[in-house]
Amino acid sequence: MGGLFNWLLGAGFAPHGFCLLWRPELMAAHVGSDAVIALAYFAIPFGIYWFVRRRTDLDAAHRRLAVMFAAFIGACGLTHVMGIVTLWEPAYGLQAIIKVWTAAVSLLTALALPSILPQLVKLPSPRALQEANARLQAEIKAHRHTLRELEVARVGLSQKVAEQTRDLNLEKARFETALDGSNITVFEQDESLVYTWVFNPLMGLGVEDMLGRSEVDIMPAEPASHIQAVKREALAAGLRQRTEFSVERPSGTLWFDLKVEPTTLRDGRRGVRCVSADITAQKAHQAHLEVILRELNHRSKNLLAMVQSIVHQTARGMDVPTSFMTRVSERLRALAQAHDALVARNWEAADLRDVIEGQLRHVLDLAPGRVVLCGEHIEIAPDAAHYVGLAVHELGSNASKYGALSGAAGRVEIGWGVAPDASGHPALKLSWRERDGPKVVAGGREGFGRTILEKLVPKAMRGRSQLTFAPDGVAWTLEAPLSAA
Amino acid sequence: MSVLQGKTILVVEDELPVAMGIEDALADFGCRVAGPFPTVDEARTAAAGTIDGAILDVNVRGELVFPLAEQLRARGLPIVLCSGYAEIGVIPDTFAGAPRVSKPYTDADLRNALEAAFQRQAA
Repeated sequence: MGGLFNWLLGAGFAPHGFCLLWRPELMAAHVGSDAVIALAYFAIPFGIYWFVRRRTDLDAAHRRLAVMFAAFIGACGLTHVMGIVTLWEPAYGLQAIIKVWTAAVSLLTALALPSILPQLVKLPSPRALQEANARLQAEIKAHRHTLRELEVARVGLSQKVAEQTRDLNLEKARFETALDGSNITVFEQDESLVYTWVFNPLMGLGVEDMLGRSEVDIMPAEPASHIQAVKREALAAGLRQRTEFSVERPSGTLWFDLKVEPTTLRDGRRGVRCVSADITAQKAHQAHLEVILRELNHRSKNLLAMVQSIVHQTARGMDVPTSFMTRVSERLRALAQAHDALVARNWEAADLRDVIEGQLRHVLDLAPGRVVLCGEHIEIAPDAAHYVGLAVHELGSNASKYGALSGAAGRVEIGWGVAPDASGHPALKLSWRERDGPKVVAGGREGFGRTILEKLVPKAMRGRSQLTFAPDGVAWTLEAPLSAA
Repeated sequence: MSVLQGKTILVVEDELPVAMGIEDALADFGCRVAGPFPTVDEARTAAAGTIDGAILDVNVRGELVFPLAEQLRARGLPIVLCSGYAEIGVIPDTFAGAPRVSKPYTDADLRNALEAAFQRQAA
């Protein structure tokens, strides 16, 4: 025990001051500088300790390194203290132990450093942190701006949605006002023709009677299969379809007009949107009109027949030439024939060609190819049809008796069209020209025939006419405003 | 001598002056007249009797004459139909080719149609 103590305290050695010959300036320099270094070395670990306590976010590796640095610097401080001690006391053994300890701690600290250096390099500098912070601030500012813009957009959008909702409601209200209580149903069906939406159902049905069902469930097989075929066609072709159908009811037959339009349903599936209108009243009205019109035609023809019979009966037993009866009968027939052309167009108008051909049927049959008709399709009014008919009858009758069609070689050209008259208004122009007939002798014709062609017809049609007796055939032209034709 | 000479013709026509006109015309052609009858019903008995042909107004008092015409045709009798243009649509296809006169017709029209009907029957 005494040996170790003597070794530690350096018994038998001279103190270090002896080597310095106790020179006061050297002693003072060594003691002073070692003391200052030691104090500084002891102060630094306290600084590190304070730092580590404050920086609670340091990880374990950094903390360990801090402890090692503190130990290393503390140990260095101790070596300087020993430098002062050994000036007077030769405790070189103790000094050696402390130096070895300091060397060990220094070595360990130096060895730990490489593993931790890369991490230390990565630690951001305050300047980098400042820049990062500035970037973050700018980013936050940009985000705030974006948020403000989004808010403006949101407000604008909700206003727009509100406007559109108002418009939609208005449209819906108009739609409902138009259809409520009307005889029109609007509905949609999916691809398998199941009703998916119905408004204003007809035939006494309720919406709930139709939804989830199809035609075959709510009406007889006959219209149902026809309607479904039309709807499938609309779906297949992608084109609008229209049809009419009837449904037998105890109260009578109901008629409907159906419009089918292929569409995309609310849920995105394909389907059809349809409008079905009850047109039973229209149909009945139409049928009634047809009956009345048929009756009118029947009666007017009968009336003409009666007029003819009465004239005939009157003439009988009186001294009336046969030619009179024939002429009257022919003219009555001409009127009746013009009438036929009107019946063909339901009394609305007559096709001019029909009117002319009707009057000439007899000569067209007897002299095929010798009468040429040439003109565009023109519809003339009922009155005009009667007068044009009468005129063409007179011309045809004369042509077969005395004119171009009385011989074997003559022919007749009949042309018509629409052209502006002298005042620029559209006018009907009709011409009758006989050619290559027997030599024409003017005059000597029956008076009323000429009256019809030169006075009655042009006057009735507010136009002008010209009858000329060219040597090779009669010519007649008529010009009348289209408004009067 | 005309094919019409001495023939008995049934006449169904509801307008009396027209019917009288037909009677006169038939007398001129050398025919005898059965009728004229203003309705199909009244003509039935005569139609079943001894006649050689018929002139039938298509529409008499709103009734169509075709059932009677069918009956006469079954007996092989020649028929002339009289019609206004409006009735053309109601003439059944089976009578589409039958000789026809359109009101108002002349005596000559009637003679032509009647002769045509008798010639068809003979052919």
